[in-house]
Amino acid sequence: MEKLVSARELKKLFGKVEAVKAVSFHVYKNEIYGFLGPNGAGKTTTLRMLTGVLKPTSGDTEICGMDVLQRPIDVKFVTGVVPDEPNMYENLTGQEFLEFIGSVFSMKKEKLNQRVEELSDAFDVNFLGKFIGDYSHGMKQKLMLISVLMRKPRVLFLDEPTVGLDAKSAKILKMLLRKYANEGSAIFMTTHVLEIAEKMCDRIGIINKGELIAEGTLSELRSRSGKESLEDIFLNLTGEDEIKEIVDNL
Amino acid sequence: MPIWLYVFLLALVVASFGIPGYFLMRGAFVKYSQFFIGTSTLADLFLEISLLGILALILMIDTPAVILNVFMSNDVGYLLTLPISRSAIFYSKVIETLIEGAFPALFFIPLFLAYANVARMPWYSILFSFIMYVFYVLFSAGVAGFLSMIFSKFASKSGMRKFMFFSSMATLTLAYLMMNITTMPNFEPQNMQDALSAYVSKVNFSLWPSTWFLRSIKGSPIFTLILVGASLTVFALSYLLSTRSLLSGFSNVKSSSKSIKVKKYHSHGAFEALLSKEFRMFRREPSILFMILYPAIFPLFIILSNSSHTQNVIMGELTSVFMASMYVSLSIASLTSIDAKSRWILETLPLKTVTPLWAKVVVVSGAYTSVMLLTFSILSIFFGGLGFALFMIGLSLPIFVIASFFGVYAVTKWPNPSGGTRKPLNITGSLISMLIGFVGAICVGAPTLYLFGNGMIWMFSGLTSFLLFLIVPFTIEIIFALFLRKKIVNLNWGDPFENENAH
Ligand SMILES: Nc1ncnc2c1ncn2[C@@H]1O[C@H](COP(=O)(O)OP(=O)(O)OP(=O)(O)O)[C@@H](O)[C@H]1O
Ligand SMILES: [Mg+2]
Repeated sequence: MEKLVSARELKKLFGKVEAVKAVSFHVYKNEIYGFLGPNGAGKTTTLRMLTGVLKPTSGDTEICGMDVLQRPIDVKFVTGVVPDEPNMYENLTGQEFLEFIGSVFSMKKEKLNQRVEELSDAFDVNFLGKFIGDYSHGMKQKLMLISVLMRKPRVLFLDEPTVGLDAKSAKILKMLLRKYANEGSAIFMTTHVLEIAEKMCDRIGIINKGELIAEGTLSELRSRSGKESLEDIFLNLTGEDEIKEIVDNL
Repeated sequence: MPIWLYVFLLALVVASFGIPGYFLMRGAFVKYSQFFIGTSTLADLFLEISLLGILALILMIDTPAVILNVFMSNDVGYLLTLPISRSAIFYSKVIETLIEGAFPALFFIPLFLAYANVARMPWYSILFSFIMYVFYVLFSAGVAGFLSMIFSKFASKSGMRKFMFFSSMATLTLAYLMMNITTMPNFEPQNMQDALSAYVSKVNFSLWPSTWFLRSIKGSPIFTLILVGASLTVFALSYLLSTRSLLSGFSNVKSSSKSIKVKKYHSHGAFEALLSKEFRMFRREPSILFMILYPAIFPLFIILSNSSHTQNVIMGELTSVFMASMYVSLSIASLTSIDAKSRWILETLPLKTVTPLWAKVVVVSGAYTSVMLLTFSILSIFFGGLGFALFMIGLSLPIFVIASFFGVYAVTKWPNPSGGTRKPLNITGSLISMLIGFVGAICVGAPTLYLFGNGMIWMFSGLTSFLLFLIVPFTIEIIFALFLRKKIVNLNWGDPFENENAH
């Protein structure tokens, strides 16, 4: 199987804080890789290093066989990134933003029109003529998803993509991601929603305090820990099974 | 930076305007005080017009600034959830804004000192006049705060642009009126007398606050009372209203929700797309667009004093260059801070780091150059000298590019933690960009004087002036450009933490 993303010994220090400690993994073609972990575990930091936005303290990443730091522009052409905070230029309309992104990625006009129309229909988007400053959180997120998905990038990185989306849009996103993966993309997504990880992801990596503590398909994780639900596996691994005790003490 | 350096820089900036301003104005007032129209002199009239000009400037600059800072700022919504009284929030914001907005009011000081010197006013009258002037500025600011509350009822970002358009038209009209009066001494004595009387009846009108000020400093207790009373009333009124206004729903006015019709999508080249994006940002962010008014308007105020002299025109145009290179770097800093807010967008685009920067530089320098070209062309219709105006603009272009990159550097080096787009730099950053503007004006002005000054630099010998006015400015420019190049290439956008460490 073709490795589209490979991270080798990625490490990030913020001052003295070790946010990510020597994490290594691969994401293959046709695969959705779910990255799980409690708050502050280092998911976003890892994703930012993978996309070339943040320089790792040590270690390296290859996307489609290209080193992220040595060939940043070629890498960015084939990747799409959906960050956790949908911050976009408030003084542009949705259409202007999409035209901007499309132009920078040298999309053809026909392709742009066609893809935007399809995706707008799918996500019930009819507000592209308004200024982004007037959008709600979910509306911004939809626009951001369209701006990335319309390019059909070979490698997709998504940070908490379903947070803030309504049920229908979340469902459509899940189905679209599956479709893209089947068509040959590699997808890396972080999530807190265990159910999404359980249903959507082909393989799951669990990160805690900067360390990748478990990795594998759901059945591999099950047989290794002897627990049935992903929730129990996750809580067991991240050392939070004393939850009942915590709640009782409150 | 130590405090004395702040004071020194500030003094340098103020003195560089104040001292030449004072002498120019004094020369003018000596002549003006000999023309009597009824009981007042042309000098009085001139003082009144300047006061009206200051009122107009404060209203124009502060009203939208208060709206943007108070009603459209992002932190007001958060502050309102805290147990702080609403009027305290409103006033802390208003006062912060007005202090900045009172900047144009400072230009009155050298002008007034020149007036007082010519009128031989004793020191206590000067002191009294300054106290009255404080009330005058307070009155203007109170009206601005009041207007901003009314405007914010229907304010939208597009509405603000219309407002700015009208206010800039008003300024141009005002400038035209002022230029009109300064060219008057060329008229026939009788015509002039008539024209002036007509003017006086308009300017010296008891409802104008400028008239209250003038009468008050000439010893009228009634007008003193009126001025003090009016300014306190306006302030009290806006204070009372403010308590309600913040919560009545328009505290978070955003852009108009009017939607632009979705057309067919187009795609362009990457750089072209960046250019049009930056141009929209520039055009649609009132706080950025507004800055461009300063270099367009201020030269008019300076030239006004004594229009017939070439020196004056050069001085005025140099002011414009100074303003422009200062505001170019602030505009770029604002644009950069917009990108910093949504940094992931540019970071994940397949572009070199400097490409978007160049797009900003082209848009902002282009805008400022066009505005200056317009102002200078209008000036040269009245006073001639298109040649050196064009020369000056040509020299300004590299300065603008340098100042632009300085703005980018400044916003990473001296960011204002709470400022956002409207105030991207902290005090150090703002003062240094002012200084850069000043150095920029010198680098443009010196070669211009050398080539077109016609003996204005007689105090230096040929070789000295060649070195001082031609070689030194260009050397400074080149050194600064190289320095910035190094800084920009080494900027690490990817890691805020590492940037923080670099301080
Ligand atoms: N720019 C930064 N400077 C300093 N420390 C940082 C920075 N960014 C992240 N950190 C630290 O790195 C650690 C990991 O943060 P990260 O954002 O990657 O967590 P996360 O797994 O995405 O959490 P969440 O589930 O809440 O999104 C945290 O301890 C955080 O404080
Ligand atoms: Mg995160």
